[in-house]
Amino acid sequence: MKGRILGRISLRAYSTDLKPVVSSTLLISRTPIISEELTAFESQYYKYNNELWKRLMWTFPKWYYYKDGTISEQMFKELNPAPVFNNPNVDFPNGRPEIRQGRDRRFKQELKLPKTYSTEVERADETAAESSDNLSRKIVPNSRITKADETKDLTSLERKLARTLYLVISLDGNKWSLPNFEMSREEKVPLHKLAETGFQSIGGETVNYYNVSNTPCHLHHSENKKEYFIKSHILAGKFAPVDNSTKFMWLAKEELQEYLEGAYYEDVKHLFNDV
Amino acid sequence: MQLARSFSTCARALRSGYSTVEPVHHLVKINKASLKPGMTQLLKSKSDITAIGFKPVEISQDRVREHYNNTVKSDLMLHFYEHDAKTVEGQKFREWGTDSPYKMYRSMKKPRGKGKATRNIKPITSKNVPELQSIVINLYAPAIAEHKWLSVSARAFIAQITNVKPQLLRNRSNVIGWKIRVGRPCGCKVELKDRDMHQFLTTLTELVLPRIRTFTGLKPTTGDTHGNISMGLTEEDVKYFPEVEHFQELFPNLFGFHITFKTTARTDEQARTLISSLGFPFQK
Amino acid sequence: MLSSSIKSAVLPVLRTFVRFKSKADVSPSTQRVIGQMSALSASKKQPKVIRLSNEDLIKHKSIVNAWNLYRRRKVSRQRDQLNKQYQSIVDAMEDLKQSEPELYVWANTKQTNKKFPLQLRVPTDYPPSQPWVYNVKK
Repeated sequence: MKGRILGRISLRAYSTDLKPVVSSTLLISRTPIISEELTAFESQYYKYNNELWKRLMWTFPKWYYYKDGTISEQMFKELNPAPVFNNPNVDFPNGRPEIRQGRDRRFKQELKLPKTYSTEVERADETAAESSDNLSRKIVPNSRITKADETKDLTSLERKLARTLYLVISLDGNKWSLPNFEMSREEKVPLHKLAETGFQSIGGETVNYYNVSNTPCHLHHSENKKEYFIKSHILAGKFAPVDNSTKFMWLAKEELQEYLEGAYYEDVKHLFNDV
Repeated sequence: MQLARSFSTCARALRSGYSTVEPVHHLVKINKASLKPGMTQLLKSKSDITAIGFKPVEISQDRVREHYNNTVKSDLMLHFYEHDAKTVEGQKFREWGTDSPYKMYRSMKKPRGKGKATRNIKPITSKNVPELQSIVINLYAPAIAEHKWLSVSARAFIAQITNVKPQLLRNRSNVIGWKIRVGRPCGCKVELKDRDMHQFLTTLTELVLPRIRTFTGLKPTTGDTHGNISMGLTEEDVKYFPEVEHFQELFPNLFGFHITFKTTARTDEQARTLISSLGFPFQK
Repeated sequence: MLSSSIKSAVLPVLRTFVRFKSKADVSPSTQRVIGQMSALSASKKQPKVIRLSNEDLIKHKSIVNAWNLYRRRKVSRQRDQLNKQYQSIVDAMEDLKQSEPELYVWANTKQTNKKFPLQLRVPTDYPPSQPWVYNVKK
């Protein structure tokens, strides 16, 4: 069931034929690797609700997790000093403290936990990199902005980790489009197979991908040509074009608007993810 | 004032009169105790800040929800699409027919098959894409029947790994051979929703399941035929939960439990695909 | 001043003494269960109920209203997009059915037991040390 590909993006006009050419377009995307970028309002609202939640939390049963007379309890005590004692001889203008189990129940309880790593490692960054297998090391999260973002490398799969990226290719370097493969008139193959074999022929041999469905997710009519869209996700590997003249980019939705043709983009824009 | 109830006719005569207001018989059963002014606080919704039971829900970003909304939902819709699909009617209660007057007011005939009514299965559109509703954790340990105090340990353990206080379960039947008595504690259960559910789910898929050596994936046949998926963890497996891993002296008694994923899917096939999209492997 | 400093120094000791008064009587495992029971219980752990002033209540309500409005718009935007996506699947399949019956049959075959791959992961808050896997084993 191997479909022959007549041309990668054929410029041949089928004006003489009555029936339009069937083709399948591959909508291959890289799904987000990190969580969404929050808007200012979202992060403020989450912070507000989180503070309310902390205020309404039950008191931490310190005596259960830190047994009396242990070193860890001593460390915990040093980090979390007891709240102001409700002294009957003292006047409190802002209300009397209500201490229950070592917490003033009028306020949220702020806890600081003893560090599991030693501070020497913190100072010497070189040794920290070496001891990556050390479980008690300080955990430093990686930056959400990668090298590819800084160098503005549009071909990298490591750019815009929080966004869905879509593959666009160009044969001449001017006109950009989603990879499209035409069906041979003699031999019919399923649309998703056509997209798969076509993608492999232009440089998708080194790509591990997941085809969502056999069903096309969109139909675009262009002049004497029908484009059925097949949706898939790239999981691993790298798109390496066989032909050196083929250019490619991984773009987010608003960037696609710049590179794709106006009417074409308007027709397919609902397929692209906003995030 | 009449102090004692009497059945003599004099009692009526002694009254000044009788009420001419017709008594109202409520069709809706009303618990009048809850209408007391002192109870108004408890009638408020938990999302209302003036309520005593106020609990903020949207306290942080929810990455599982984002993943579902951004990637999985539209993929599932495309995956389940079937052109010209019709609704598959479920088994319903049936009429007896009209050929005899005796059949007129007879209660309905039981559904075909197992005698249970089943729901219609509608084709998946953009309106009814399957979604994970809640995760139910059910812990039943026979050891609790023997040592009652283990029920405390079991609840503390479940509370530790889920961040929600579980409900105590009691036996509902007597089995002499298994030393089971009605009303004795036998385990606990908890239903997780929203952020608690997603937190538990990511802990399970990212930290616990990859470390269980004997785990090869969920069974390909799992499901209760109505779109709910179950799996079980043994005592050896649950020690990998990071919440109990570092407090072994506090939780020396660990218990295996059952996890049920309640979904809005109508068939098991759909539910399994949904669960696989959230990072659960399946056996081949 | 002196008395207060003595009190604050003495009191925690005194409290500790009270809680573990019967320590000698019970075994460590019983002690642990008692600890678990009191860690689970709400007794003395509940915070004070929030009592907002009228002004604060209005502030809170406007925050919640703004959030609900924001979320409703976001949800309806997502719903509209999903509806459009569904409509384009229907249109594409209808066209395929009319023009290419053979392709339609292939496109409409149900894929049973198809699962999502494990590599399609739930996004994390921070990227892994190697954000993308480049070597593919075939």
